[in-house]
Amino acid sequence: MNSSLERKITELAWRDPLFAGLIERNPHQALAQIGVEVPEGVKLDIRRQRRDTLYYVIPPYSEEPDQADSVINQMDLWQSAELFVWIMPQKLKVQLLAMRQSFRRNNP
Amino acid sequence: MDQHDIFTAHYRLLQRNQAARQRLILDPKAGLNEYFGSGTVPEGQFQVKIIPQEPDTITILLPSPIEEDTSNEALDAACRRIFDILFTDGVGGYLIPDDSLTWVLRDMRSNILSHSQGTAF
Repeated sequence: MNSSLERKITELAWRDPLFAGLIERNPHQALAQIGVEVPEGVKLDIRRQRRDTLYYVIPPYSEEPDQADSVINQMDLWQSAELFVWIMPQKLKVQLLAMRQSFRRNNP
Repeated sequence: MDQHDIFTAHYRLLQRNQAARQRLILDPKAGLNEYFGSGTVPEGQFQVKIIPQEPDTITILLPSPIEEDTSNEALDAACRRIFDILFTDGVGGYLIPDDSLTWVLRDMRSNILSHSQGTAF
């Protein structure tokens, strides 16, 4: 059986109403329950996709002056309800790795 | 403005204008209609939610079961495909969870392009 972090989160979100509510209300506490240590300063936004909802992803607010030649990449993700999707700044990759490692360490 | 820049211009506004950004987050359909023109968002029983990228935030969009099938097989299938969107300056666009929404998005974009004919943004 798939024992990944993604599988565990999804299983509980689908089958355990208490966990499903908690992970949207207080994701840090929900992840702590399954042995995930979230690095300090990292915020989490976790939602279960609804099939009747379009999700519009918008770039971050920036106080830096607009650079006319900068590129805003654009994407569409079709049939996304059948995917587990992570969205994060590239600089938080290391923090995600730490979360995965803590899940693995705490769920031998 | 080139029609292809209409969507980019909206992203740039959302990067620079906190008030417009908050209005869109609080009421996405109204925010889209406000910027792109009245009637941009088609009528129908669907919602639009905003996923704002933030420099300190990891976002997870969990899969959704098909017809409430939460069996092991369904879970394995949903978690076999994992998609990472890692951004530097930012990325914009839509997640379309279900086929039923395909034409909602296409109609919305058609409405935007129609509104833009001869309209200065």
